[in-house]
Amino acid sequence: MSQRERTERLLNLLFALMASNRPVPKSSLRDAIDAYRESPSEEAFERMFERDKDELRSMGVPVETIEGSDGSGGIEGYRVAAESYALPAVAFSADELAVLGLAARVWEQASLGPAAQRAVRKLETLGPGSIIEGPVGIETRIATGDPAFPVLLDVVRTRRVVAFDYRKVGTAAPERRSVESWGVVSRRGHWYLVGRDVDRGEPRVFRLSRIVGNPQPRGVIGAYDIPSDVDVVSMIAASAPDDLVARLRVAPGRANSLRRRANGVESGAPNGVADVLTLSYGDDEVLASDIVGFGDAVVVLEPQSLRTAVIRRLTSAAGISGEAPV
Amino acid sequence: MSENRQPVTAGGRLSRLLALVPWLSAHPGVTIDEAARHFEISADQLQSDLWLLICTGRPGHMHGDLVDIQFWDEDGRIDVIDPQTLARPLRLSPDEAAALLIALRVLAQIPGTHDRLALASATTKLEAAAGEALTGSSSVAVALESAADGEATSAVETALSSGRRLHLTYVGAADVRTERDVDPMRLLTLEGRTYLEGWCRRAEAVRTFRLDRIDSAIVLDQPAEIPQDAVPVDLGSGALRPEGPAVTLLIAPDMSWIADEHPVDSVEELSDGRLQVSLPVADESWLVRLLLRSGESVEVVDRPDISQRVQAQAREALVQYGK
Repeated sequence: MSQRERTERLLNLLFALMASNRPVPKSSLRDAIDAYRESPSEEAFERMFERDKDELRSMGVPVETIEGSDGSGGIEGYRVAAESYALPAVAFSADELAVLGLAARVWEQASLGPAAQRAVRKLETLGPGSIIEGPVGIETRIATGDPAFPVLLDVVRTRRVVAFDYRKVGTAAPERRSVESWGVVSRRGHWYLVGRDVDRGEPRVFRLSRIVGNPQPRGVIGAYDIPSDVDVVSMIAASAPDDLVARLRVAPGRANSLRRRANGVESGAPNGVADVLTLSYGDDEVLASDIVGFGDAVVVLEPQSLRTAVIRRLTSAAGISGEAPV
Repeated sequence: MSENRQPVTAGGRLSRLLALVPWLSAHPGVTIDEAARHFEISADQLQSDLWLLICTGRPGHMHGDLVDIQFWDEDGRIDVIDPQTLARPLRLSPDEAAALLIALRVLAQIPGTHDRLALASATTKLEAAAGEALTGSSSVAVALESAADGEATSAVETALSSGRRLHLTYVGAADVRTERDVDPMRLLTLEGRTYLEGWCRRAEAVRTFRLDRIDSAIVLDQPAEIPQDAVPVDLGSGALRPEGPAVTLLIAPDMSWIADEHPVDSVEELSDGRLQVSLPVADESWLVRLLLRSGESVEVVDRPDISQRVQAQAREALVQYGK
C-alpha cells in the first residue's frame, strides 16, 4: 500500500469518526471506507483498522472508544468529538508568535525540532498572520542528539518503567538498569535522566550519552508516581556543600576563575608579589583538579589535605609516576 | 529544520494535511508557491496534497460531503470553499506542546532584551491551548549556568537594547585578561551557557564572549557600528568547535568525560579500554591546563612538545611545594 493510499484511508477514517456525535460501529466503518470494504478478510480489516486507530491517536487525534449501554462491556463504536479534536481558539498576537518562532528555533537540528515546527504551524493559524522571522537579538540552541532522548521523554510523560544498558565512567562493560523515570534535564549541553533505580531502590542520575543502545519501556502506563517533592534540576547540580576553606597564593593577574569565586583577597601579602585568596569549597579533589591547571601560578597554603591532593596530581602530570620526586 | 528531507510517512503527511486546510482557510487567495514555501515543501508536493484532500470527505462521498478547494486558476491562487470538519487545526500532541513549552522556559531564563511581556503571555496562552497535552512536561527541564556577574550582564543588556558600544574586560579560556571594545550583536545560548556575540574592534572580527568570563563591562557613549559584512556565528552543529588543528589524545576510562565535554572530531575505543580522541585546539595553553589536570590518565600521541610543556610546568609547580 502506497503512502498516498494510506494517507487517504486515514483521512477518510477521521472524517467518518467526526461525521456525527454518535459512536460509529466498526461494521459501519468497514462499509464506509473503500480500503476497509475491499480488504480480503475480517482479520485483515481488523488489523488494518487497529493500526489506523493507533496511528491517529499517536498524532494526538482523540479517538474515543464508546462501550455499549447494555453493561456487557462490549464496544458500541468509536468517535472523535469535534470540540476535543480542535485546538482551542486562543488567539496569539504578532509579538507572541514571534516568541513562539524563537522557541521553535531552540530545537533546530534537535529531535524535538519537527514537533516544535508543527506546533507553531498550528498555533499561527489562530493569529493575525505569519510569524515574523526577524532578528530578535537573542538565539538559543539545545541539542538532543542522544538517541535515547525521545524514548525517555515518552516514559517520563507516561510513567512507564524503562530498562537500558548503562556504562559508568571508568568501567568498560555496560550494566542493565531498570528505572522509574522522574525527569529529563539538560545541563551544560548534556542530558540526564533522573529517577529511581528499581534494583537499587534509590534515586539515581544517568547521563544519556552513557546509555548503550535503545532504552526499552516495560510494563504498564502510570506504573508509579513521581514524588511531589522531587526537584530534578537540583538533583543534577547536587554536589558537596561548600563547608571547607582554602587559602591560596596566586600570581598577579592569574587564575581569574578562582579569583572570581574567592571570598576575600589579601593583596600583596606576604612577599609583595602574589595575592592570597580565601575560598570556600566542598571537595578537595574537585578543587585540586582546578588548581593544578594553573601550574605554578597557584600554591595551596592550607589545608594540608588540599595540598596533598594537588601535589599528588602534579607528581602524576610531571610523569614522575609515584616515585619520590627528584 | 525541515521534516521533508526524510521520507514522509502516511502519519507525517496526514499531520501536514490537517495543518494545511486551516492555514489555507485563514489565508484566502494565497498562491501555491507561497503556501509551499510556508510548509517547506515543493509546489508539486503541495498540489499533490491538494488533489488528495479533495478526494476525501464524509462517508458517502456525495456532492457536499467532500473537501472543496479551488486551486486550478491560472493565477495559482488557492481558495478553500468547504473544509468539512477540518476548519480548525488539530489540538497539540504531547510532543508538540512539550517542545514549545520547554523552549519558552529556556528563553525565560536567559538574560537579555527580548520581549518578556510577550514571552509571559505566549506561555500562558500556550498552556491554555495545549490543555491536557502538557501533562508530564513539567518533568523536563533545562538548567542554564547562571552568568556570574550581575553588573556585567545588565551592562550587556543595556548596550544591546540601546545599540551602544561596550568596553569589556574579559578572561579567555587561556586565563589571560584582555581589554577591548565590542559592538554587541546578540546573545546566544549554546550548550547551557550564554554568550555575547559582537564585533570586536580589537580583532576586527565577530567574536563570542562567555558572559561568566566577563570581568567588567562598561557601556560607552558611542553607538555600536557593526560592519555590513559581519557574519553572525552559524548556530548549526559544531558552532563551538575551536578553530585550530586537532591533537590526538589517548584517554583512560576515568577521564573519558573529556570526550563528552569538548567538541571532538573523532573518538575510537581501543582494545585496552582507552579512547583515542582527535581534539581540535584553538589555544595550546588551554590544552596544557587540561593535561595538567588529567595527570597520567591522558597521553598526547602526536605532540611531544606539548607533553614536555606539561611536565615542565608540573615540575615548576612542585618546586613551590618544596618538592
